[in-house]
Amino acid sequence: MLTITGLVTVYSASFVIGLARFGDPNYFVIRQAIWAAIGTLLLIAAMRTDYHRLKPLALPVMVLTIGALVAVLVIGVEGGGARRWIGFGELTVQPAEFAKLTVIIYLAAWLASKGDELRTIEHGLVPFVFIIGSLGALIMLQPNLGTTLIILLITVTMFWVAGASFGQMLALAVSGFVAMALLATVAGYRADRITAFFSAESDPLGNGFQTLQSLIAIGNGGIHGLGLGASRGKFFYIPESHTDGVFAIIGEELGILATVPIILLYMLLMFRGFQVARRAQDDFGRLIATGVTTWITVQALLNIGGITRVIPLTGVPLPFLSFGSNALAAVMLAMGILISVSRYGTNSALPARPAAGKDRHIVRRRQ
Amino acid sequence: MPKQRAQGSRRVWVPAAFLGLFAMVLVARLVQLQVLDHARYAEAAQQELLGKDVVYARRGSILDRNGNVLATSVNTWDVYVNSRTWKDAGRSQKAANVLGAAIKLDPGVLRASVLASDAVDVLIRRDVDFETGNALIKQDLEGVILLPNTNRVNPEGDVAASVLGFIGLDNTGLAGIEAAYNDMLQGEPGKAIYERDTTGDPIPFGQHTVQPPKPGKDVVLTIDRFIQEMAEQRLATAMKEHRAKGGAIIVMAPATGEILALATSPGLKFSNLNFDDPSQLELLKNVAVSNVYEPGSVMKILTAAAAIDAGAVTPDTSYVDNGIAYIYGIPIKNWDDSVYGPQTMTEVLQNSINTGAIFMMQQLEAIRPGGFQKYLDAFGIGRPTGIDFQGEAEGIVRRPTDSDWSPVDLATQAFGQSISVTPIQLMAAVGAAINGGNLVKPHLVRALVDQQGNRTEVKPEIVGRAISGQTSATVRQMLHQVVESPGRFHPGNPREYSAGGKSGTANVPVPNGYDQTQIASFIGFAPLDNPQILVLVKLDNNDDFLTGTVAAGPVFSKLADDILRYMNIRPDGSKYVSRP
Repeated sequence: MLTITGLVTVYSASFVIGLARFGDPNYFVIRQAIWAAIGTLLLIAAMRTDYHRLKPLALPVMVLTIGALVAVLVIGVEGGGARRWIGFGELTVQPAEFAKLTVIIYLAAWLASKGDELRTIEHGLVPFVFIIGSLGALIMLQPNLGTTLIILLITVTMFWVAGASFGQMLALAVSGFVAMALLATVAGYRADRITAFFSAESDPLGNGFQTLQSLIAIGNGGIHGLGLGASRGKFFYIPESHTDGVFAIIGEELGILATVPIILLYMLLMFRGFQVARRAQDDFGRLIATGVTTWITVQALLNIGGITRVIPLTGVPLPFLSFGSNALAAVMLAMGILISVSRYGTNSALPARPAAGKDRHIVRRRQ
Repeated sequence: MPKQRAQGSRRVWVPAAFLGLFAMVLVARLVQLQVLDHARYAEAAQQELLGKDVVYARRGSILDRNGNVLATSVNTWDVYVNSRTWKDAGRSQKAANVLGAAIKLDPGVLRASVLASDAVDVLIRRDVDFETGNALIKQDLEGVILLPNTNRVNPEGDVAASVLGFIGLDNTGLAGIEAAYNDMLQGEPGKAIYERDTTGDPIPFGQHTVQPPKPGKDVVLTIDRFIQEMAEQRLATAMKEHRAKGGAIIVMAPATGEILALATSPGLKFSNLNFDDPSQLELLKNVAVSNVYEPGSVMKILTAAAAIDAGAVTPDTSYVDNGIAYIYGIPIKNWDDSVYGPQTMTEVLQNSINTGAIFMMQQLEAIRPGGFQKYLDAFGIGRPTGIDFQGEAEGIVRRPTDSDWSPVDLATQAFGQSISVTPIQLMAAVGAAINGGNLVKPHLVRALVDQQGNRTEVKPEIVGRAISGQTSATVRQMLHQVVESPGRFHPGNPREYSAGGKSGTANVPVPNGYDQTQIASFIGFAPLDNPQILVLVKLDNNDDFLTGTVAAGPVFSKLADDILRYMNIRPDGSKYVSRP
């Protein structure tokens, strides 16, 4: 699937540009470039591996992930009021980022093994809720609402695609909404974010600061943007400008001519991903493709929606574009698996040719 | 199995539809933010980004009448150290050593004081001189920040300090000419407008416009720094000799009102300015302009001028002094309790006879009721002169229209009691009596010069006409005879120049009477026919209780000789001519 490779290349290129704006400390750029290279290697390796070989690994990897999530709570490094990282000297690992991937693989294997039994409560909904609930609880203990939310959305989507009944989905949707509402009210900063969403102007220097400054930056960008590297917002106006807020900087520097194409690229990625899922030979492949696609798309839209104040801020990075070693490596590994599914799992040959040409066109224009 | 797969395959499009819908919402939102509302957000961004800095204009200099610089601004640097940078001992050690050597401060003390401060940028030293600062900038020391400033320097030291005044840290004049002419000296500060980050620092490559400041104008004083210095030295010497607590010497060009020298004590001294000492706050005002005193017998000049101008008396009119005059039953005696018998009006001034002054006032009132007060008004008594200096007092005159006025006031005013004037007001009044009759406005500034060299002269201002030229000439002659008459020695008579003058010895009024302290003064002019200088010498609370004639008279005569010789005026004194 050259298409997806091309897309990834585009994204890779653009995040480097995006990060080059952080100018002076090349720190970020160099780190990100190294991780992009590692990510590319992971991608190629995963791409060349038949995804079926992942199936026996699903359970051990899942156990490892849960172990890591427990470990992070015990020996993790604190940052920004949360314990999310495990340090190995220079290197820090954020298990939650990889948890998304392992959950997808594990759940794909588990759901695929169930078949029609899923539609029953005792073989479908109950174990599903148990697995996802315990995993979500572990991540929430860090705490990390954004990642929990994404995992929930990924898994529910997979559950649906695997064949869950409409009633089960409704029950999940209702309980999920209640759980989110409860969690949001428990932690002060989450409540603040929601208050900021509804009335940022009432507290422009406090809770509303991040929201308002992001909006100002994006709005200031206009159609053409201020020009590459010309962002004002990155000078401390926008918190986390190189990670969660990178979309605001892109909007400010490159304008709507960049922001809308970026959303369209994510949409294209989603379309391709679901197409891979639809054409997948077996349930395992289809569910993996569904999971990976949902993950990247949901995370991108949550980020952009938060920055543009369509939904409250959730504090998740923008896939491919935000600075963050673990996130980038995990996302690229996932893309590799997705390509593997398309390479080893599709029955019909190469229906995507015309689209590939269109993508190349996009690549050229962005350069 | 195929059926289920087909179903699962189709199911994929459900989440896709949800996500696609959401993406469309986001696109719409971006169109709203970046296209429709762009102008509003752009303005908001501009608003919060713009920082403004005031760029101070170069402050004009203050020059004496001949262009000698009395106050000027030099470029300096204010040195700050970023305390965060210096927290790292390794990085700060070298910077501390170099900076400490440059500003002569122990590096250890320097580092300790930086680290002890709560501020991020710690002010280390203001007004480091320009070359030292430039050298520090070249070294590019870690955490050391230099900001341009200017420092006010007074190249002539304490000369005319009380006239010049000084400026505050914000470059605004707080006292003296610095305050009175602040608007002209200061110029118009410029603005630097730049885009800043949230910490207030300029963003590199951000929009940066500078509106250049308009430099201030130079102020050229009427003061002559040499005459000023002579006056200051004479005042200091006289105060020491007569153990006086304070005093003033004012030298004015009587025809124009230009103040050539203004020496006061207490007075400002740049060399020991210290505003932690509350008593020094008094020095913010100039006592010759802001403080009033009873002039005493000096006032008889104006009384005589008024009576002669009205035609009530001539210099040769005579009356008989009994040593005491009764005004509505209240006895008023002469200052020395003596009885002079028959006296001409000239002799009244020579002997400073109080009853004679009352006689002149009464003769005037007899032909022109209310005339004495009218003449006082014409001489500007009891009214600010309008001198170009802040804090001028108006004086105290009890007028017939005041509720507590009594006819006794007229009598005492005739010889300089129950009436208070500022020294500068008295200069203007006596100036009118001897300069041909014009009341001129005393002033301290001669011209303004902008940075292109365009000079605006300050024209002498005639406020009004007090007496006729004829009367003025008569008054000059009478005052000449005070200091120079056959058979009498007068200490106020200059050796080399013809002159005129009158002494005053006044007690200091306190509530319900007079204090034991006195003010001894002498006002004189020279040369006689075309007076170039009018000089007031005033000694406050001289402990030896010598009279104005004895204590202040010699100061005038010596000063008049010195000043006129310095001014290259041809000596015309009778004693000088008679000498070989």
